[in-house]
Amino acid sequence: MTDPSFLVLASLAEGEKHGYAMMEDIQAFAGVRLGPGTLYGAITRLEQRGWIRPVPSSDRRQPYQITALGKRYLEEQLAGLDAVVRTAMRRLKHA
Amino acid sequence: MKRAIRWAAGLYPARWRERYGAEFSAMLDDLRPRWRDFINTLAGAIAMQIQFGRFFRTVAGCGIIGAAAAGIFAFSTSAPLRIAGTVVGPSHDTVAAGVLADRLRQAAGSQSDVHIRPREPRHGYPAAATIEWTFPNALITRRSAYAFRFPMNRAADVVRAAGLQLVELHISPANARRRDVIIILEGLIGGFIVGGIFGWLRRHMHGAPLHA
Repeated sequence: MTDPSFLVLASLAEGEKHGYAMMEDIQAFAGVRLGPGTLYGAITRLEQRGWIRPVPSSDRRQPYQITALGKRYLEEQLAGLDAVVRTAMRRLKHA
Repeated sequence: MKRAIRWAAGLYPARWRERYGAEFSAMLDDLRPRWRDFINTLAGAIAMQIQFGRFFRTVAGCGIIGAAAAGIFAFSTSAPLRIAGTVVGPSHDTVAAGVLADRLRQAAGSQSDVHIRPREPRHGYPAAATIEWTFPNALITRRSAYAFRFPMNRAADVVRAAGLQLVELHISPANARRRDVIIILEGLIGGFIVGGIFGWLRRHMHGAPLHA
């Protein structure tokens, strides 16, 4: 849940963002503040895997967008997470 | 703080800086930095050096990290010390010396050892015999000297109660420095090996990772 790559993908699922915007967004929706090193470590890995790509920009702030491959990976992760949450909720009701 | 973070960002591999340096710097302009961001950037630089740095830099970096970690370990853990004390007594009574040795062994604890060696009388002391006792296996940590002092104080009490006088006490940490050097060297060599494995795996499994 606090995996930086997962959080970056979840942030970019809303639309393209640059580094600082991702940091702010992740803090707002997940309550996790990613440090600069952690954020750019995740961006580097995600770009390497082809899950995000840079969007051409004239600004020094480089925006990124999620790719189709990244969306598929995020959907798989969310489906797995959803199954865990539903199972845990069901078990809590019977506990 | 921003200056410190920019300095840490300069430690990223050159290939990484070529690709991400400008946008990373732009992000820092927007950021309200905290000291944790400096540590985070420094940790990121180390991780990126391991992942994308040149082979020999990776090996050297891992070696330095290994040596530093081993140094912290060496300075915060036990170092064996040899402790020797000499007491002077009023007679050649070997039975009394044996009883004293038993009491010292009990007082000094299970990790210590006591040897009684009769000696010729020393000049300037009225004693007719000298008893030597040693604690060759006693352990002391640099942070917890008090834990060591406790059994020694008890041993000194036993000596006084027996009507004897403590005239010498030697603590010889001669091996401690050698031990620290050996541990740090092991950390350095271990780091080199880990760095070499990282570098080899990166070269043979990932290829050239960064997009231009």
